[in-house]
Amino acid sequence: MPNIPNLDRIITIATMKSVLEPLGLLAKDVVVKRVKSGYGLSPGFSKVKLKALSNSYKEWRSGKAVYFQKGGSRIRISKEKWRSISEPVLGEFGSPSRSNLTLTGQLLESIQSRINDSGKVELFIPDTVRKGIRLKNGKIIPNRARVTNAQVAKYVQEQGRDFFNFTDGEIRILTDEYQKLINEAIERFNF
Amino acid sequence: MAERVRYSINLKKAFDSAFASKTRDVKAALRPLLKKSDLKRQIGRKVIEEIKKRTQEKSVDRNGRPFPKYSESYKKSLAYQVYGKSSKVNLTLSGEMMASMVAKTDSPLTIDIVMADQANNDKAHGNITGSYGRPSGNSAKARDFLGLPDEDLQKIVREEVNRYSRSSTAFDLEALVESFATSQLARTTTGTEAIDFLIEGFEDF
Repeated sequence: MPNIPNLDRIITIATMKSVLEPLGLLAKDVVVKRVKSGYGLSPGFSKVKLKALSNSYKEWRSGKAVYFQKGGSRIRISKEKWRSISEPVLGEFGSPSRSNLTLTGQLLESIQSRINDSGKVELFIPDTVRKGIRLKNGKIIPNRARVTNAQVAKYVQEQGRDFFNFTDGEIRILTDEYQKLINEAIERFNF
Repeated sequence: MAERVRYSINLKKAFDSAFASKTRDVKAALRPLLKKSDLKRQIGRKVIEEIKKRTQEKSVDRNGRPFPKYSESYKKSLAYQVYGKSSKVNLTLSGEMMASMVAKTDSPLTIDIVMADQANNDKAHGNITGSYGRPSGNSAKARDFLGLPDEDLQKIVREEVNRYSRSSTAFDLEALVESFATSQLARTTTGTEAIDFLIEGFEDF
């Protein structure tokens, strides 16, 4: 049996910032691209199509109508009746009827990776207050309630659009990359 | 659910071809190594590496033929745009399928390269048969990436058997890095706050 190299040294290399940070960036990229493609996660962490948008929401996103709550009932006002209705400026790869968590694009852009206090690489969605929603007519719907990206993430997941984790296949992509980064570092430091 | 795809490697046959020019004594000395499970795992790893290289860098199938081009409708798809793919055919969109190849080394003198889960097996099956989710295959659209030309396989077997016979420590290092990385990367179930997926990190030195 060949000699066993020093595992401690591999662990030291494998836990360096220069190895972990690129892995965090890749992890964000993996989540963002999956979601932008329209896929979330099942409870068993399989890739599944994100739940479709409601018809009323699609109408609003395409600037065809707006909906108000009045006296417990919902009122629809169409573009024909209220000409100043304007559709929102959607984020990259957003479309009025596509379910990919991209209204403005702020939620997915806000995902960050870090090495946390206990030394683990993690992805997180910060409690940053969102900007208002820009409309195509130049107006902005302000974020008066100061809703944060973390709150939006929680909300969409409660609505059945789980997205913030990894499939088994994505874990394998990250594992492959992790090995590559460790091997490169081993070479770099002439281990 | 598509049938399981696999690339089955007959180690004895590959060994005999790889060492055909060697004397009977040399072959007799080296042949018992084929039973070593760590050698089999290493050959499996190298085969997967080579399949990825041929597919992702050279865009050729297991027989060295260039892959058929992507269809126009695929190029216009949302996923194609989101992942920023070029027109180079490399069977890599998210990268999950290529990352899902695993080497099974349980059988004596055989290594099976298979896909780790059903979803990626189905994708691979679609590529290999040209069915892409349809009931029947289409050889004109098939991209059979799962395998290697005999001479490439023989080269890997020759190199790894020789390396193993010299008890190289580099051999173990690759195996150790793979097992370390695999053991460390696991998801933790969370809400929206954070997904931890690695062990402790230290400052660079």
